[in-house]
Amino acid sequence: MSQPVGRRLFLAGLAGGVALIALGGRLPGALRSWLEGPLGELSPSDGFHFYSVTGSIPSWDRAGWRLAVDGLVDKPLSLSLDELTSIGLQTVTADFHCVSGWSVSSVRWRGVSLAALVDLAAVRPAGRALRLESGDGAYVDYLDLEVARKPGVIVALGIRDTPLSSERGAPARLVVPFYYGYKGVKWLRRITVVESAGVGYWEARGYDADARIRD
Amino acid sequence: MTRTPASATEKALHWSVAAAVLVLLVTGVVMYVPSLSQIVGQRFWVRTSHLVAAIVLVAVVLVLPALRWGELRRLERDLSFWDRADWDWFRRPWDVFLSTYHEPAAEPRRFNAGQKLLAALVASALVLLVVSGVPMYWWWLFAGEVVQRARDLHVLASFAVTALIAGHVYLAALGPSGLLGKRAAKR
Repeated sequence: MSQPVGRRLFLAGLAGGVALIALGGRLPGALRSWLEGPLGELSPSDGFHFYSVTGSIPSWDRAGWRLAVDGLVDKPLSLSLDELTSIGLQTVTADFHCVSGWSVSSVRWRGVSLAALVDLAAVRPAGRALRLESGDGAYVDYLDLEVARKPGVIVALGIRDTPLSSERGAPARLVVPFYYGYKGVKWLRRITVVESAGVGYWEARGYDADARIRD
Repeated sequence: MTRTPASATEKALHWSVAAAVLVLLVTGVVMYVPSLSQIVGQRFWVRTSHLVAAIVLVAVVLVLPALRWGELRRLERDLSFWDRADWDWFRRPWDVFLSTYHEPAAEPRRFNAGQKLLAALVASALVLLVVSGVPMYWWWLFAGEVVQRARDLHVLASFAVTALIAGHVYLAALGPSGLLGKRAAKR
C-alpha cells in the first residue's frame, strides 16, 4: 500500500521552516552562525558583507586625497585627511543593519560630525539637503540637511579602533546610525549642499525613499 | 520491464528549474562570499539576476503544470507515493555511492526512495527560499526583524538546497550509477 510520503515531507519541510522562524527565537540566527563558522573567510567573518555597485574599489593615496564640501555654501572646503581629523573625532556605537537582513551589533565608528563639517562650510539659507558622492564614480545618495545634523551622523574614518579598510569605505564613509546601511556612502569624496534631496542610486533602482529601520 | 523514460515536458521542467537554480546559486554565492562580491562588484546587476532567476523558477513551476497537468500530475505521484520497497531502500541508503549498486531488477521504478526524498526536500527548500526572499527584496514593506528572520531562513535553506543539489549532481553525473560513472565502468 503506497502512501503520499513525499507530499507529507514537502509540507513538513515548509512547516518546519516557518516554525523555525516564527517560534525559534534566536535559534535560526544561532544555527546560521554555527553553519557559517567553518566557512571562515567564505562567510562574512567580521559580520559585514561586501557591497559595491561597480567592479572595483576606488584607489586613493593619503597625500593626494581630499574631501570636497561645496555647492550652496559660503566657504567651500577641500580637506585632506589630517585636516578632516583636526575638526575633531567622535565615537558612535550603533548596530549596522542591511536591507537584505544581515546586521552587525554594536559597531564602533570613529569620525567627524557631519553637522560640524557642513557648519564649517557655512551653508547658505537655500541649502536644504546634501548630495553625497562616492569615489567609485557611480554611487550617489542624498540626505536632508535636517537629518544630516542629527547626533550620530558622522563621516567615519575608523572602525573598531582601526582606520577604515578599503572594503569598509576607506578613507572616509558616511554613517547614519538610524538608517539602513545603503545610506552610508562608502569611499566618500564629495559633499554638495543642494536645494533639495534628489534620487539616490538605490532609490533610482526601486528602493523606497525612506531608509529608516522599521520596528 | 524497463524504466519509463522522462518525457519532453519532464525534461523541460527539470532543466529549466536546474538552469534557474544554477543562476540563483551562482549569484547567491557572489552576494554572500565577501571576496567574490569584491571581485565581481556590480551589486545591482547581481541582485537583479538573482531576482529574475527566482521569477523564472516560479513561472516555470506554475506554467508548465498548467499546460501539461496530466503528465506532470503523474510525475508528482511517481515522486510522492512511497511503498514498502522505498522504506526498504533506507536500510542501506549509502549503497548508491557504491559501484556494486543496482536498482532492484524485479520491479524497476521511476525513482528510488533517495530521489523521492530529494525531490520533496528540494521542493520544500525552494518554496522557503522564494517566500523568504520576498522580505529581503521588498524590505521596506516589512519590519526590520521580519527581514532579519527571513534572511536567516534564506541562508539556512540555501545551505540545505546546495548540499542536496551537490549530492544529486554527484550521483547523477559522477556516482557509480551516474552518467560518467557508467561510462567509466564500461571502459
